[in-house]
Amino acid sequence: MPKRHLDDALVTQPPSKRRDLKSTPPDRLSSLSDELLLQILSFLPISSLNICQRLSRRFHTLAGDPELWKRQYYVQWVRPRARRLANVTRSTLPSKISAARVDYSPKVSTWLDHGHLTEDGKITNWKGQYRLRHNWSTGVCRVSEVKFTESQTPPLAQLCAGVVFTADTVHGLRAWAAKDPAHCFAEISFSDSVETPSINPTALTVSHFVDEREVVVGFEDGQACRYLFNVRTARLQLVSRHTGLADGAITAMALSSPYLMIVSENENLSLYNFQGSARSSKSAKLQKLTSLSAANMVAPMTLSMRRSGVNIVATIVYSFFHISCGWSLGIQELRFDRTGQQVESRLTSTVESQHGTFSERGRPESRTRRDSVGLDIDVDRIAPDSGEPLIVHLHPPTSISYSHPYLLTSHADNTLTMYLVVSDNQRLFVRGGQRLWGHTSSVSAVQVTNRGKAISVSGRGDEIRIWELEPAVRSLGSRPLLQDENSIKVHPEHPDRDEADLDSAPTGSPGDIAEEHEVPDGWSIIQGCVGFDEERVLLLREKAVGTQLLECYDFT
Amino acid sequence: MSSQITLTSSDGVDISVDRTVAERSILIKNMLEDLGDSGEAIPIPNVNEAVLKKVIEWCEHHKNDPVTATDDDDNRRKTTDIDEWDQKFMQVDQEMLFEIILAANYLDIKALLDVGCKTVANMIKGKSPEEIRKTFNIQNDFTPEEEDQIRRENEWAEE
Amino acid sequence: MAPAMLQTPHKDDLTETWAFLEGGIDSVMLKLEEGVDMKTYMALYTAVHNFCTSQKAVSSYHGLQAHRGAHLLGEELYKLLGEYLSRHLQVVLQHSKGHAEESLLGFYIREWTRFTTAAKYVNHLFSYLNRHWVKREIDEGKKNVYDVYTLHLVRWKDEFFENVHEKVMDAVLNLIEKQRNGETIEQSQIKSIVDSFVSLGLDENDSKRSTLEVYRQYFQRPFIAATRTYYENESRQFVAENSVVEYMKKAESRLDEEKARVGLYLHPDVAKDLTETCLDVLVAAHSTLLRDEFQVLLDNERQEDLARIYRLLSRISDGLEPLRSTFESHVKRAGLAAVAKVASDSENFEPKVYVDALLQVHTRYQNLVNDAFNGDSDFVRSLDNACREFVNRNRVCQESSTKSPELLARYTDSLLKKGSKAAEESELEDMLVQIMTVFKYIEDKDVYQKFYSKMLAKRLVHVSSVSDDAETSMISKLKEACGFEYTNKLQRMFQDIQISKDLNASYKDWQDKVLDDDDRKRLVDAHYQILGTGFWPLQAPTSDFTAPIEINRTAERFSKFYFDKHNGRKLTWLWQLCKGEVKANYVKNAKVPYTFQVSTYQMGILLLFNEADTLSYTDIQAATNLVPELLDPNLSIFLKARVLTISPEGAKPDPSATFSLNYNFKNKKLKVNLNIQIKSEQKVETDDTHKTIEEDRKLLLQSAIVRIMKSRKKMRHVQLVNEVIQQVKSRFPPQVSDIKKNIEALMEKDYIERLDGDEISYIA
Repeated sequence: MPKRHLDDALVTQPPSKRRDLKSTPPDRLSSLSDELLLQILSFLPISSLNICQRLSRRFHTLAGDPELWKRQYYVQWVRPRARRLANVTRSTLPSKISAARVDYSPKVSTWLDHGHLTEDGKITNWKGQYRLRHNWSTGVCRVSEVKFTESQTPPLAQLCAGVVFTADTVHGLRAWAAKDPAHCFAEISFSDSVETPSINPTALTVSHFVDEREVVVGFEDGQACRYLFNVRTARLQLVSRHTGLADGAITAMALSSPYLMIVSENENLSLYNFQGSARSSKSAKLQKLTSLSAANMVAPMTLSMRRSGVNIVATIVYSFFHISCGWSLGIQELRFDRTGQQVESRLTSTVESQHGTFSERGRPESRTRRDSVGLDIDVDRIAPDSGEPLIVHLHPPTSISYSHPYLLTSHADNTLTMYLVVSDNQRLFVRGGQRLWGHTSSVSAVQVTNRGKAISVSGRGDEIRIWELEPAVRSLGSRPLLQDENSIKVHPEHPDRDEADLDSAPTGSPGDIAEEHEVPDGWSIIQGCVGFDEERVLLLREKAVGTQLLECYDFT
Repeated sequence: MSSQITLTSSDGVDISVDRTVAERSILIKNMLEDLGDSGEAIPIPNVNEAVLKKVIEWCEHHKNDPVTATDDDDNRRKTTDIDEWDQKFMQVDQEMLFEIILAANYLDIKALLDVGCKTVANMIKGKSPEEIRKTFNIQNDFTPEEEDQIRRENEWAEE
Repeated sequence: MAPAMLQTPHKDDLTETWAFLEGGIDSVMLKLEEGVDMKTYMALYTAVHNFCTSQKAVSSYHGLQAHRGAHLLGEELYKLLGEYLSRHLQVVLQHSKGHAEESLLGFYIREWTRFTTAAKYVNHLFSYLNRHWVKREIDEGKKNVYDVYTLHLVRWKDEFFENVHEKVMDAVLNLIEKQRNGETIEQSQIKSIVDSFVSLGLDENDSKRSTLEVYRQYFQRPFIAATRTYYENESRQFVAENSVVEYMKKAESRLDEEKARVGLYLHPDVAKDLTETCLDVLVAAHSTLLRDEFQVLLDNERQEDLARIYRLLSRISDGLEPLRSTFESHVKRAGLAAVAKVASDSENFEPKVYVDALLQVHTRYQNLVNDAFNGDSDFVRSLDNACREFVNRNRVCQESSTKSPELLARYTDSLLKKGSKAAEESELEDMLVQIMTVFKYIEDKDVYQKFYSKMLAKRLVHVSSVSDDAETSMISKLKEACGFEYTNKLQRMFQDIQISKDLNASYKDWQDKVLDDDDRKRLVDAHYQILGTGFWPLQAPTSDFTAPIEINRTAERFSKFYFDKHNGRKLTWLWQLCKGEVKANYVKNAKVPYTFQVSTYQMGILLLFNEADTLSYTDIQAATNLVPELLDPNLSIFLKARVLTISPEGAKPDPSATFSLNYNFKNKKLKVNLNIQIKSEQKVETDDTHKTIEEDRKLLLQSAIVRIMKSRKKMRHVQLVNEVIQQVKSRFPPQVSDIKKNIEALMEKDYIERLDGDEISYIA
């Protein structure tokens, strides 16, 4: 049989490679097919992958392969957590999370809470995702600033799913791209919507739909305006105006459409439903569901609305002074059914937790004692009124953030305090209380998500820390925490012009971007943490009297 | 069960081998399963005598290894450690190394393919881009600007 | 095969590669029976391998967008293979149109076998594609990409199956119908179809697993529907033409047949649905008919058919409930009828006849429950309910519900008394067990207790028990059924008799020491029984009695001995229960003197004649102190036995009569029993027993009320009544009016008082 013939056909190299062979030894590695090269690369650590990307165009592509990085992502970020959860599950919790895989599976949907990273028909940039996680975990980010034009009253700002909304007397309501804070999507002046043009906005709340953000701005005269921002068209539009919602300035709001919770300066709290009110009518009446007069509310306080099954849960967390453990938090929870009918109202406080006597209702096993290091909770042995409370705050918290079940307060004494709120059909109580150390100066603001990620900022804005609270919760009452495990200080890089240029979107007018990150001491006050999402943190900073900056810490 | 079968290399050389040894190759295993052993020589059109002998040597040595159950075995990837015999086995020139990888891939001998890939991975690990290029004669087809950009993009993970 | 085929195509050339592969696949798909040689096999695999590994010039310059990643080759081959399969299956579909019914099944199975066999080959030939391109697509989360074998199945389902499954199922169902009609069919065909349908169930999320979805939807559903229709028709027709019993046999055999069908050629998954459907159509749909037949079968005692009806209806939900109530009232009727027959056969029936009648009914239906109804606990309960009804409320009990326990107690006595017919010990034990069966249903258990203890006392005092073992056995049975309290007194009575035996022995020793010769000469050989007052249902004598001097002396001596031993106790002589023997030495013409067995009273009368041959009535009365009610009947007994004669002759005993000793007394026996129970005594005794029962019930109720109030202190009237009922229920069924009466009585006695409203309070 024509064996010779056959060989020729098989062994023949492409002509181009043949030519190389004459001069230098052939590049046998690059001549391998993609699947083999991927196989080789799969045995390399990420540092080597990054090096391989610099070899040639082909290697740049292959070493950046999403499936390759997906596996690395799993090994680095998912598996440790899956292992931890599997251990906890084995010892205490029943079912549910036990499905967490410890073996790698290419199916992202089987990973813990990572389903959102894959969308059908889209290629996820796993290397980008890996790097994002890496940066968060090490606190590495780039910082950029947007300067507002001066205004007498501090502006309000909120970040919601990639869009930053700001409200101030001069410019009205503005929407910015969180990705690129220099870019203002849209702007709508209050003079179009309110009767007295120079009125000051006092509260801002945003909620999130698929392509829309619903924004409600509250004003000092007790009226509120509802706006819609469309992400696709980048249009901001007034929906309705509501007067007389509060008997004074609106100081705080929470929105979970169609429910709106409002607190006025006169400490009245009301809950409205704008289900019925048509979207276009200029001054629709809101249906008032309930209103409470809260005599005891001392700032700071926080409002939260969430859905729990078929119910809407509105929560007010406020601080009050307790005779034995100083400043404590009160939690009032109102539950409404789908028709807006109030189902129940419940109250609890952190006092028991601060004493370390939180009752173990629903946790049958009595835990064994071990030496408690000052910050640890637990301690069943201490009777409610005997002995010193474990957590005493002599000054009110500087801020409160509640995103069920996490409740955090920041304090001037360089610490944060974390509680867990347990709320089910039967009970509402606070489980555990724990001081979080890490900051080296007074903490002025904290914000937490329901996934247990929190950002805290020092008073002068020179120290930002990122907290992963989930491990802390797992260990709550089981072993003292090592503080270093929990928070990471953010280390902003000096903004690098070249690098910025490399980023896909070239920056616009450089005038708006403050390139100097170092802020001279003494003239910078942090106004608060505007928010953070998967990729960035936004802070509002006052540089001099009347000069506000929006700072964006980008972790991509 | 140790019947002998014959393999014919691409350059026409017949090599006799234990059926169990040959069946480390999933390709040969499947084929014998589908067609039955007719006693005919099995043509291996993509592998020449030298490489085929080398591959058979490996298979002989590993004929009693358990067949790995899952193909997505993490432990397999965790380490680039190679056992001593395999290390020695892989001490060949680059041409042979890549021929073995190609043959293992063609014949579907997973464990051998892994050993080959690990060997190459070890040649890459810990080297600078320039050193790697030199090792494998890889041609740098970037513009200097591109190269610089990629360097900076990837700085974050260089430890 | 032409040598040209071996020429592997140029690896960069898709058209050439595919043309080469298509030829190979064609021969695998269409002419596999001709065989494939190794060279072709290897060439095909190699062609796929070479195509996928060919390093084509990377199509376009991506810039530096690295995250698009590697580009694996093979998509074109995968697409072409898919298209090829579709084309092939279109042809198969065309061919299928020439077939119908069994021929279609044969065609389907043939093509399916050919196709899946080929799929396995092609899967191996394309394994390089599976290993890399397909795996990567799946890893990336792409939908609708499968390994090559699965691709075959998907195409089969989409291109062929979707178009023929209805016709195929029609053929399958026709075949099954034929079999149901009794024809022999090719079962393996259906089995193959089932297997094919099952194989087509692919899990969208995991190609390695399969689901039963396709099979359930396309096979199971029509199959179940056809089964339903078939049996609806069949059963309707069958019922119209046959008896219900015949129908039941038919239904049972059909159910078994369908169950077997699953094992023969269906997927086990169908078993549950199939059984449910059959039960629904064959049993539930005709349940009214079956239930109506149940009464008929009961009446005719068709045990086998009853068992059948039970088996069928027990398999549907709530199927048995109506049967149970039918059964219960049937048993009740049977019991009442049996009792009525006993009552009408004779006025004064023996207790045994009555108890036997009850037992017979119970036994008959208990056997039915065990044999036909599988011992079903609900039927056992129905049987118990029915028995309780006819035992306590039947014709004999019309006047008083206490008649049943009384009769049962009398029957028990008749068994335990000496001279009963059940001689064998084991037989006796069985009968006692049967008594307990009836006893279980008796509501007035206290009545039974009363009568039983009376009769036990008599058996013990008169030493007339058949055996101690039998007595203990019965007492322990009652104890087991009613508890310690119920049998406490019975046991004490039994103990007293044992203790008395010892006492008599030590009395004899004492006598030996104390008595002088003179005493000994006149000694009466006596046996004494000491009976505790509280435990024995006995009363002190109703008449004065002056015992004869001989007896009196003996009695006093024993009393002395007893009081020495137990200082402070009081002895009351129950003369009415004593008895003895006297020797009639006076009788002429008697070689051996007669011995008279007599009561103490009789002894008192007879011994008077030691002093005189003739005595007047008043003499006798004065000497014995007996009241006429006792004296007269005893004298009558002597007259009747001709121990004494009366003057004037033929007169009844009365104060004017005189009595003489009959020296010419004659009797066949040497031992003559004169101690015969007097009729009137018996009647009085029964009435007394009933009276004491009423008394005891009052006490029981009152003590229950006090006990409850003492622990609760305060209680509402209704609550109290309920609680009392609960407490005494095990003894007798109390009347609410009686409880109320006793509450009133206790209020009068200041044990409890009525508070405002409905509440009652305890007075400490």
